[in-house]
Amino acid sequence: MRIYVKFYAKIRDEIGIDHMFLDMGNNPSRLIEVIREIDRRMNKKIIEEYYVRRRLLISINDTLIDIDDDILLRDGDKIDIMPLPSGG
Amino acid sequence: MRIMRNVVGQAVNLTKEEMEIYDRQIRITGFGIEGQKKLKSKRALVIGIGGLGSIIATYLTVAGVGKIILVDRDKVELTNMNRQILYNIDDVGKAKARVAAEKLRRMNPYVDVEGVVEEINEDNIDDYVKSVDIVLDGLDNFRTRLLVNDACVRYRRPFIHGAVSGFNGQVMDIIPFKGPCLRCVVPKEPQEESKVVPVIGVTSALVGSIEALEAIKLLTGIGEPLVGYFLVINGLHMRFKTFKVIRRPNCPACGKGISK
Ligand SMILES: [Zn+2]
Repeated sequence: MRIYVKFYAKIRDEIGIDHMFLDMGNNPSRLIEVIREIDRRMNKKIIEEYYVRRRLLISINDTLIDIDDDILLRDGDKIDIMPLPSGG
Repeated sequence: MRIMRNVVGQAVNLTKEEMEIYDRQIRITGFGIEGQKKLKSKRALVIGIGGLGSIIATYLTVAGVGKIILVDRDKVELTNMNRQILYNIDDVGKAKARVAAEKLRRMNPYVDVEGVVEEINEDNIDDYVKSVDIVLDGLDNFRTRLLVNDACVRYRRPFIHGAVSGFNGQVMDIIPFKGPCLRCVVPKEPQEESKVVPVIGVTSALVGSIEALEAIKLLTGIGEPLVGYFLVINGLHMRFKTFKVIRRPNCPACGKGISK
């Protein structure tokens, strides 16, 4: 199954690309598996750091998700990953 | 804490001078004198008068919202100058809430602006939220934002969320129990960015004016509010993207069984 991932703002800068296609094998993947796969591809632990510190927003098919939800991603899903700004 | 509860009367009338001040917006189809009177009868609370709050408070004042309460514990610093346009260099060291209130009163003497030098916390937030019709986010951290969100849910007050970083920003309208709240998106406090968030003034201005616009719409009842949606702004590439947000049954603030 193939997933489209798009990065935003500081995360995009840090990871160095705008988007990627991920091939996740045949079974639906859990969100954390997708996050680790992105980091593994880029050889940098970036997304998981943001994830653990709860400093990101994740949207699946244009709907924001609760990052604590155990979500299964399926073929054709589109993920947006953006940092959570906190300034005023 | 002292919140002076001016009774903003229901039978609101506009003076000849006010009619002239607000002439250009009264002319907007759907806004009119009715919209202006509604604004004059409403109370808004702006929490944090920094980059976002300067813009929010300024535009709510010139638009003619009847009563505006500004809360900020901080003093003006030189590093505020790139974005906090209510302050001048010679205000450095003075309490933001006082300087801001004084300037805004001069900008529009028909608006009752009150500046309170205080930190928002668990003990005082309820009284602030209860005393107004709408709450606007000028904050710089999610700990307090979630505190404000929860109080707005408890007392069913609309809350306009906004946040910025660099050239990026976000906005969401919260109408408790009619749509998702901030905790439906950010259930728990994230680890903060470093205390110093990089930002250019135009980003704060962009997000702050969208917050003020949403407040004006909600207070007058015109247009369609950004409820159930989350606006993400990328200034550097000039893209605005709106994501859907779902009200979560298990939301710690507005979820089922929490309150109604
Ligand atoms: Zn909620």
